[in-house]
Amino acid sequence: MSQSPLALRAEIAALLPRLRRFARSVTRHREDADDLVQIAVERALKHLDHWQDGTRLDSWLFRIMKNAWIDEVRARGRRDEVLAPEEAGEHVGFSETGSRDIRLSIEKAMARLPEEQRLAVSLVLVEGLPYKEAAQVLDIPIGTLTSRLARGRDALQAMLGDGDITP
Amino acid sequence: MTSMNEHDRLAVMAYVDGELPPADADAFDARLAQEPALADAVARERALRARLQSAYAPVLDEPMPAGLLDLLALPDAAAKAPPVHLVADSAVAANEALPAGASDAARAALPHARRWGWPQFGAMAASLVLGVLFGARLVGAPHATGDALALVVAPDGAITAQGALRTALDQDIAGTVLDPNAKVGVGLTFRDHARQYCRTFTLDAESAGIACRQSDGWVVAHLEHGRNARAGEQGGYRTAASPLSPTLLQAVDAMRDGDTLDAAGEASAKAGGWKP
Repeated sequence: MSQSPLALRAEIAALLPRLRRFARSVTRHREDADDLVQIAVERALKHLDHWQDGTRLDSWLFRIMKNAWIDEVRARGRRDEVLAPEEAGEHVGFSETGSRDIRLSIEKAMARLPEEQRLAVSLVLVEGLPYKEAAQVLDIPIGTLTSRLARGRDALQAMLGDGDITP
Repeated sequence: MTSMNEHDRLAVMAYVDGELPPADADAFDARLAQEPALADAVARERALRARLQSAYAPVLDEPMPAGLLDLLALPDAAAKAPPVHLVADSAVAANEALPAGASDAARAALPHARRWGWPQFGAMAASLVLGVLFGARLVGAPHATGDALALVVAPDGAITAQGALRTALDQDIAGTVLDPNAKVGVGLTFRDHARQYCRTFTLDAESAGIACRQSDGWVVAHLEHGRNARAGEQGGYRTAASPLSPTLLQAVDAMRDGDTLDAAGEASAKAGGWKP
């Protein structure tokens, strides 16, 4: 079954909130995040024919975002990587229910993870992708994914405090 | 942390992530009941997952930047008129209107972000409105006119039918064309495996889809546009007798549980409010 631009555009539109959430957890900055989504959607629209029917559209878009973000990180070099953790958390979304402190702390912990671990954690724990999909998004074997996930989780648990298990 | 071995560490993770095969998950459940250290590790991983989810969930409800919507709303360069317009849900309701053939400059002059005015969507913080528009006017608030068609993309990704499309799905019985000038048409009606009523629809000569009646309206399960949606160059498919595109028919076959309904069956389903 082949899909045409309007239907795909509608489906991409439907995915926008999730793309923004993924971008926020990966980039840690609201502006960076929306820039990343913008770049990814532009690339996706330009290469709609590269998307294979029967594969998950969200995974395809996450993969485009991952590639764009890695490019961006490389282009920026180390300068912003040093700055990023300090600012992280100031750009977290708000909820009416509050509990901002908790979210700040977890955002800061996420910001301190190495890029590859943060991507794995974002895809599986935030976006809920199955291992197989997440591994494809990151172009790595499943074993590598689970190992990054394990290290990322351990690091987060250590930063958040072992004893605190309240959500 | 724990002194858990690597095998158990990965098992806890896979268990929490729902990645264990059913038999392994059952075996793991049995171990959990007997090994407090394992149960603690599971609780900790679940808590971490929940914290991450709640930390980033608010992003889903933030207003959508107009720039992102514009990207998706832009018509193909070759298109004569924009077939689609996306409306962001972040400002005050406004009934903007532009001729369908309006220049890019005129459209760019429109306020990009508007709050969806319909009461039933007032609570949706980040819904997108994907309007498929016909006739002379491009209408920002589809409830304002009867002939504006709309597909609403909710934050959870569900696409629902509104406006004239919803009316047609609710009212039309296949084979009867209520309004000869209507751009929207309803074709086949069938029940899916969840016993919901589903109907194929056309939006214009080039767009078609399948919507299924759920408690809160017609949810679009399949959408096609362009040449793929055409069965052939000749003839539309407004009535049940008209040919549907092969991909749409495949989708119907994959979804349906039982035969498609005849006119009497449709009338009876309609009389029952399309309830399963």
